[in-house]
Amino acid sequence: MDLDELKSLWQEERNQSTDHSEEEIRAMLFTRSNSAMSRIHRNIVVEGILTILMGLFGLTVWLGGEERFEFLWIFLAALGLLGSIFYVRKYRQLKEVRLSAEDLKSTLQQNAAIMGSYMRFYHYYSVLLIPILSMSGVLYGYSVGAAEEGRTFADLSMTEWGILLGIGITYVAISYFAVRWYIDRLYGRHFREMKSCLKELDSSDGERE
Amino acid sequence: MYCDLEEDRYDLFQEIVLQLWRAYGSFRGDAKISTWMYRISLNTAISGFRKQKRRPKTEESLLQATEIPASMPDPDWDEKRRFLYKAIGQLSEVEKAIVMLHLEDHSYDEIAEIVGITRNYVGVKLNRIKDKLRKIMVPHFS
Repeated sequence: MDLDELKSLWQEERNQSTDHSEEEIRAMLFTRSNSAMSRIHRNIVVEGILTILMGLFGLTVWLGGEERFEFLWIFLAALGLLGSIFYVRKYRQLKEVRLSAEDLKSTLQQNAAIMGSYMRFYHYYSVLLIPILSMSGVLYGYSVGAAEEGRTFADLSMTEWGILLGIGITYVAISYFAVRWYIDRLYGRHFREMKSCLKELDSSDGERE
Repeated sequence: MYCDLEEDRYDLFQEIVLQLWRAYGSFRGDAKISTWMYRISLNTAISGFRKQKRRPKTEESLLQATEIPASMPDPDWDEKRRFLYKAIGQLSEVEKAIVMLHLEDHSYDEIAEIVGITRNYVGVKLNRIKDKLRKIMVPHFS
């Protein structure tokens, strides 16, 4: 069986297929998009809401006014500022990714470039924010425990500072790999598939019949 | 062609309809409407669509998922059709796009315009696809 025979089989197959009614098409137009980009957009919105909620929680703690939490404003300010800058940048980057009416190769090139840059940026952003977030968590946790014993940070011995630092570093390391896994799970497979298609299309540059 | 399961196929069709509707305003008329539609459809299928996580993909699911019409013009028709899908299912995403456009009777120039490769490379790819399909199908239809 050659391609011409396949062609007639294909045409036969097409003739057997049923058309969709106007109502069905109309219903489809009102459904939620399931495109990769739409899903990523939805993830970003969820991340944004979670960040705002965390910020509000931190603010509530700070405004609680207990003196021992005073240092928290530095972390909160850094988190708020960096988080907002990164979030806007991340959102704008993804907005650039569109399913265009360009040819397949151009669309893949454009989307893979934006997606790759977005993933790198997301990773750097997480690597920078996680230490700030985790250290503030560790210090906050310690301050709660220390306060119950009537101690302050000034009373910490070198060993205790070492333990705190160790916990912080371990937390950062775990979070670093967790974020890498999370980014790969969200975008990795799709990105690799696009790159693989591009590689196949790019090999046309070096080949002629 | 791009989805093994009926549910995935329906989702992809729905997504393509949605993307065509959204992109319609940007259609400038500098290409044939069919070329424009194929571009959007392939861009959606290859670049923009993520299948829902459903049952694990098996070779059989590809064959089972295609509905069998009530009347078959030829007793061999269903078998041929099943092998057609099975064979195409073993091609890469790009090869599927090229073979589908060829089966839809597009010229090499049109395929090149939709996929974004040279006319010559369309020929190279189609020859390779023919070889691949022959290897898969000849044992069954020799």
